[in-house]
Amino acid sequence: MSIIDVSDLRIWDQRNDEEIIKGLSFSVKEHSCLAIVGESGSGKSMTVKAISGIHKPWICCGGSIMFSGMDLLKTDRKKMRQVRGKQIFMIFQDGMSAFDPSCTIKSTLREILLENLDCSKDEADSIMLECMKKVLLKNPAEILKKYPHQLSGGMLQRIMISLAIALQPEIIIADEPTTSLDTITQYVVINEFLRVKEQYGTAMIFISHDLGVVRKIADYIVVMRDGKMVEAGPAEELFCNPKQEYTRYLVDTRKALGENYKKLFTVKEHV
Amino acid sequence: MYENILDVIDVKKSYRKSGVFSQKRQQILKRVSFSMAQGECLGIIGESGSGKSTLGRIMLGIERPDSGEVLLEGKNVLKAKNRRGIMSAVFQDYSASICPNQTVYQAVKEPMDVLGIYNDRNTISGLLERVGLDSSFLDRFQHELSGGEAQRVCIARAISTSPRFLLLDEAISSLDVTVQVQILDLLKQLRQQSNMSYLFITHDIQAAAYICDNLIIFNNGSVVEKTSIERISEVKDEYSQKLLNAVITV
Amino acid sequence: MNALKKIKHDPIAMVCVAVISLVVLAGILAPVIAPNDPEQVNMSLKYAGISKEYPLGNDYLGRCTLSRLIYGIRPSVLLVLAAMAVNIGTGLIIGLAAGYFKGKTDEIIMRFCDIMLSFPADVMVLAVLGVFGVGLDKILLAIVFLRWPWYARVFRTAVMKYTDKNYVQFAKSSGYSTAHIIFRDILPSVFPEVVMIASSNVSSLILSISGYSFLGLGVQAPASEWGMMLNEAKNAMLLHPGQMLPPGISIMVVCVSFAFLGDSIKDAMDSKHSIRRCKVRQSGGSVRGRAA
Repeated sequence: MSIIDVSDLRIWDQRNDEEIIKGLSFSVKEHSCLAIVGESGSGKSMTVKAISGIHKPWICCGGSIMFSGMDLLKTDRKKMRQVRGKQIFMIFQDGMSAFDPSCTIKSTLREILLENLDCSKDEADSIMLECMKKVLLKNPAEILKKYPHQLSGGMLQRIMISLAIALQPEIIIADEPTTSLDTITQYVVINEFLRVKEQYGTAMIFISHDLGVVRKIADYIVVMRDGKMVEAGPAEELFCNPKQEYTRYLVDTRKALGENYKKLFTVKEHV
Repeated sequence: MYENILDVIDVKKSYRKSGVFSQKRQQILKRVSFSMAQGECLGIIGESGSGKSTLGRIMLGIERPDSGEVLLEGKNVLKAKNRRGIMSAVFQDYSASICPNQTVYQAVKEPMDVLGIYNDRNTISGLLERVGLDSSFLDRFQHELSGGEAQRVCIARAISTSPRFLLLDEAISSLDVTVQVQILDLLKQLRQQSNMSYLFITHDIQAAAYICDNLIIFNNGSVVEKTSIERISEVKDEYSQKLLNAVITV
Repeated sequence: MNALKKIKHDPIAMVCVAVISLVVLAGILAPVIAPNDPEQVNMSLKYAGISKEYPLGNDYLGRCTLSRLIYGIRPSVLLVLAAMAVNIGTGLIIGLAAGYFKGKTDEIIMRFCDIMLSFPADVMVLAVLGVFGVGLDKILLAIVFLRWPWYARVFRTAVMKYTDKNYVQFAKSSGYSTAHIIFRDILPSVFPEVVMIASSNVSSLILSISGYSFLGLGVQAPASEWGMMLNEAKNAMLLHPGQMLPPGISIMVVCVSFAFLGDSIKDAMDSKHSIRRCKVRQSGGSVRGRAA
């Protein structure tokens, strides 16, 4: 069964009639992770912004996006606000910009939990602490007192994931969440995503330009280029046997980057 | 020619924690020492917060260390005239690397003008060709370029004066993986042509393994381990091993 | 130069340049083009209307309004521009030093500016006038002396925005001289903001000077100045309201011209903004907002 069904999605810029997305169709199955990959400018972010309804006012969308029996493109802004957060949860690339810089983490999280869950302030606080412990954040009480600029990007992303655990949305949309993170932090955050997927079975849409990260987490992949879908299919199939040349190019380039590195370790194994 | 292109000797750096009169200091760099031979490509691997950016700025001579010194071909790097013509740099944020009021042509010719090297439109076209751009880019502004194109322009500008030392501070981190590989191939090619020494600062070990001869693993303001690329699997330090285990390959 | 070409093609900018140039020229050539002697009193022509000999009529002492307006350009516009140039120049040099060199230089300069800024400017001008007596030259001196710290602070912020940019770091690391970096990399980037601030403040300075003259603290009779002319016109506001129009409209026209010109210059120097505007115009779309 599909959580989200995108049919013939078309997005264009009203100001200059520029077509950004030219007829995109895909679906996200229950308990699975769909990855959208492509180079910068391929339209990945625009697609998910259309799904969650946070695109700019001069961006127009056509086609349909079915979610929980309603067409998100035809839903009014008020209803979309209710859907966002509780049912569709978004995690962005820059963890810092997701938080209000003038409020502590505690007040930001509390506001979100009170808005989306039916609970009291104390209940919200205890949910917060519990979920932060679940993502293995040390000293959650200390972290809650801090401001966003005092925490690293990786830590903020993990707090966002703990929020996802608290809200238990039907689908998490992560837009390049690990792109701006360092090696070790990226590894930790990817593992958190994997745990959420395995433990809670939440469906996910994961956007990235790094196929290495995508391979770890995705069940299905959609490859985009210049606003169009180039290829789509199960992750393993796409990596082992890409049908389209562009997909092959993306996979080969990513393999080339890590080739030297892998060789150094296999040499040791042979010695 | 001097044997080592770069010598970093006992460099220490700290910042005042708050205010002009504060006594509390935060130690960013704790006695960093290493050397680079002529023609070597050295990678410095560090996560954010390790102090590698501060180290990069001190090596470029734009920040003064609290103690210790950095020698470029035996001369102190803090004096502008010791850097001129020998050292150049490419940075991570390509959108802030080119003056927004300058065209590509003006940006690439500036270093040569400063050093008094004769150049004309053909020279600049030639440089752009070397980095894989055609002459239609000459009159474009920085905001009209994509990430990969802008970074190529920065590289063209950096090599225009044939420097012997090029510092690349996370130069490919903001680019797509496909473009990263293209730029790394370009850098390899340029190095073969001119025997430049590269100092490649990054958090991406795979990229460093693609291009570097030797690696320094950097954490918490000090050098954790030094190794050649061939022997990277033999690293002993706990942090180094943690780093290697976290690498995601396809 | 790219920016100059763009200004030439901007109709609003050209109108403003024309207006300001005319005004400045008229002020410089006042003795040549003024139809009459601005200080000649003729009580029989008191509040006379428009006539061939007196194109804008006469004021309460029968003096030619147009001639007084033209001679009034000198203190109202030309001297103000000179004072502005000194203010901007001083503020820019000091702001550049503080913003570029940072560290101790910045701290010392900024603490000095803080001390100067802690004195309320208008009150201090009045105090200076109280001590040294009234007069336009004393007002201008006081304003120049008291206002440069504000400009220094504003320009320092603008400069600091650019000193950390990668292209400045590149210039420093490549061993360019400090002078080259400041004049070739930082000043051109800061210039649009300097022009914006200068143009918006010229208007407020003109109004300030006019205000002081309106209060009788600036130019003294019988010399003419637009603010003073407004003051004289206010006395006859109910019976001869038309007297307020020549000086009032002149002040308004000059201030608006400077404001629009500053805006156009800023757009011309900001290559990104003007190119984006052109792209949207070409495709015939309406601009609803800036792109992300």
